Amino acid sequence: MKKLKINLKQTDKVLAYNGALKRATRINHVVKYQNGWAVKKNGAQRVSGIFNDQGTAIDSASKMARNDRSSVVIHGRDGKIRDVRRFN
Amino acid sequence: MPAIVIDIDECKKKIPGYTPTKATEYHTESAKIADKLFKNALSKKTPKKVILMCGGSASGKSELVSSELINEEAIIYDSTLHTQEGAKVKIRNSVGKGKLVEVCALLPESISKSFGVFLTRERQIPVKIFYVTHVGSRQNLLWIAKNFPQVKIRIYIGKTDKYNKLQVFKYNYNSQSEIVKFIEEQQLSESDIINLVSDIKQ
Repeated sequence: MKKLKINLKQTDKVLAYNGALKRATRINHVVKYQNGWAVKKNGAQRVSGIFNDQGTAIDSASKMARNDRSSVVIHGRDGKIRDVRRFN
Repeated sequence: MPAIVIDIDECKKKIPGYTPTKATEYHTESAKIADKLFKNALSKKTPKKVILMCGGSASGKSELVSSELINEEAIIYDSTLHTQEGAKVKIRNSVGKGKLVEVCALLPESISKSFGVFLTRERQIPVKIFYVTHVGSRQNLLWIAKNFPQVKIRIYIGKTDKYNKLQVFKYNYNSQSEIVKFIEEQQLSESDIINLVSDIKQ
């Protein structure tokens, strides 16, 4: 099997895709954290906020996502995605 | 002569009242428009080649078409090709009109990056569609490879570079059995996809 790199031209669609890839780094996840809930950016090592209940964590994450024109991914206690809110 | 591109998502934009936030509501109507355009394109003598795109939502298929495949003399049907029935009809109709059929599959190396694009792009579609199209297009690709040896399959892999920009690689194979083996290795279940996109450490 041989691999060949395709030189993608910077078409409007490619630029839009790359813009979405950039915005995706600002997605906020609401995850179970110790005895409460945390907000964590996509791929971040540390959490950006810790909250007692999930509702407050979602409100905080939504506020950030609205400013960033990004999304909030809400995880259940088992870690699986249970809801998504989009602000783009 | 550039390719004739039939893109279901572009068809949506031509429907009065369409907004990207309600993209799903317009899918059935846009699919009908796309099928009509495809039928019309097939009825013409040229191009002789039909390219059926294949891959889950937000894999980068339309981006590959706009940048690379657009220069081929072909009718390009840009959709996810995630149902067997849809693929069967498109292949049968194309072959029936004397066309040479190729399937161009774009498989993202990172499902979670693809999911990030899916969530942040303008067009808003339920998350379930992301799972269904990624599972279905891979299953369907394998089914085509096993049942339609006359259909040439091209495999592209989507990656991101160090600047987090889309990169595409074409994988060339020596034999059909090598392609089948590779596609078999790429199969994912819906729960595999859910686990991949739920893992925020990636």
